[in-house]
Amino acid sequence: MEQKTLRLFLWKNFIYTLLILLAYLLQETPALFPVALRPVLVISMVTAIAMNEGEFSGGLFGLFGGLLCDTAVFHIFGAASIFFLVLGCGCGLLIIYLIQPTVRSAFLLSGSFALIYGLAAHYLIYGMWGYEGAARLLFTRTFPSAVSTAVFGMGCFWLVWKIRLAFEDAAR
Amino acid sequence: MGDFFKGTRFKILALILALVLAFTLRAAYSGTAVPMISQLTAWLMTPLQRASAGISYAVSDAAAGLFSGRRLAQENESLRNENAALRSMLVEYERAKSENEQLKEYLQIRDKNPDFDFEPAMVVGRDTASRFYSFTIDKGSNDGISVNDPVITEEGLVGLVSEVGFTYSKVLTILDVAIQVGAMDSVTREIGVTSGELPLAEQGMLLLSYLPRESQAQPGDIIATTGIGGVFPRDIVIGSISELRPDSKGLSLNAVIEPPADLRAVRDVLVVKSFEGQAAPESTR
Repeated sequence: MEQKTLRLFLWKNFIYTLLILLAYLLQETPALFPVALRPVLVISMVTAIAMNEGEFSGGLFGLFGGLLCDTAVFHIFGAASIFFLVLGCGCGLLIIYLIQPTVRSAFLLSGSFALIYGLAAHYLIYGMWGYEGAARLLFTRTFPSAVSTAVFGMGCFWLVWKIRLAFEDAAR
Repeated sequence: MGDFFKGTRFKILALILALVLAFTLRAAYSGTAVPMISQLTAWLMTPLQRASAGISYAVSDAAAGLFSGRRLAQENESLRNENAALRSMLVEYERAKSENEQLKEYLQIRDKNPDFDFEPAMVVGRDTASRFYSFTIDKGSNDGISVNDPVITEEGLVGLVSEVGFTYSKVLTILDVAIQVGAMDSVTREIGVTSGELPLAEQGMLLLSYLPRESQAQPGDIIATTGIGGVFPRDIVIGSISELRPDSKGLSLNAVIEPPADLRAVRDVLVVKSFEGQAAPESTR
């Protein structure tokens, strides 16, 4: 790899790393979003990176985002890492083989992944234990959170897309 | 897509996945043990989280001041403090003790509970998946915090430390179904157990169970900890009764408890590292 290409590659991935960190910080910051509408911003960002950079980068950045989320969640350590790694890799493959990388796709993919994550968390933490009233939480927390994640997914996709284009221009 | 599964990249990702899976299984097997990766990540992230939480609180306060007027916000804060003091005084009155203010400020808590060893902490993160408003604080084992340490505010009981890292701790609130607290009606002296319930947790409330069917408890009665079991200190305010209802079998009464502070939005807390009557660590779980 050329010196310039290598430098640009490192810088781009450094910026993506910072974006994941920023998404995690904003996501976990108390009092920033209304409780019912709290987006899982790491999902939005990982999806955006996977859509722009492919399955390998998507998987690795998914793993990184998942590790961050695992430090905050109250269930078993590693569950988010595994989910986000598979999510990033799967999203990259979907874009390569099935779906156009557009803002609308970013909305749908971010929302779908957030919904799967929310449903899995809901089932593992609440549903399987049979807590009374658990189903109501799907409507008050899980679904609204998936929608807000999808909305932020569009912004994240646009941002990562612009960054990728800027680096591609610089490489020419 | 078959090419991807035959390629080196897939093998690398599969290897990483297997390693993470091994870590996860180890974490699940060892129960409370926090893996090294988690400790390291949290050590790096806690200062950033502290900064972002501080900025968020400042912006939130500024917005509140702008929206409802600085004067109204200050008046509201003053009334909240006064309300907390009145609740504490009522508990003390019912217990016929000399002190008439309790848990209003940290110093006052110390006056009444010289046995308490506190560690003030800030809420720096909230789990997006948690429906019981669990949170992360910016203090950990480096500050002497241990698993099962009670967490309080000047207004009352907040929860229990469930996991400790070097620089952070995770706290389960009393709204969580996993947290049960021995509680007592300060008027009737009747004893029950509080625990979380999903629909109530959404409203920031919890349930007091096992009150006698013929209980004289009334809405407005203050509920405080009994200290039985040695996990929570005695006489910490849990909340006040907002509603009474028979349990599903009609054998006892349940009471809906409204905590004095909104546990869904708590920002600053005190971790009680030790207190008189605290159970030995191995017997608290």
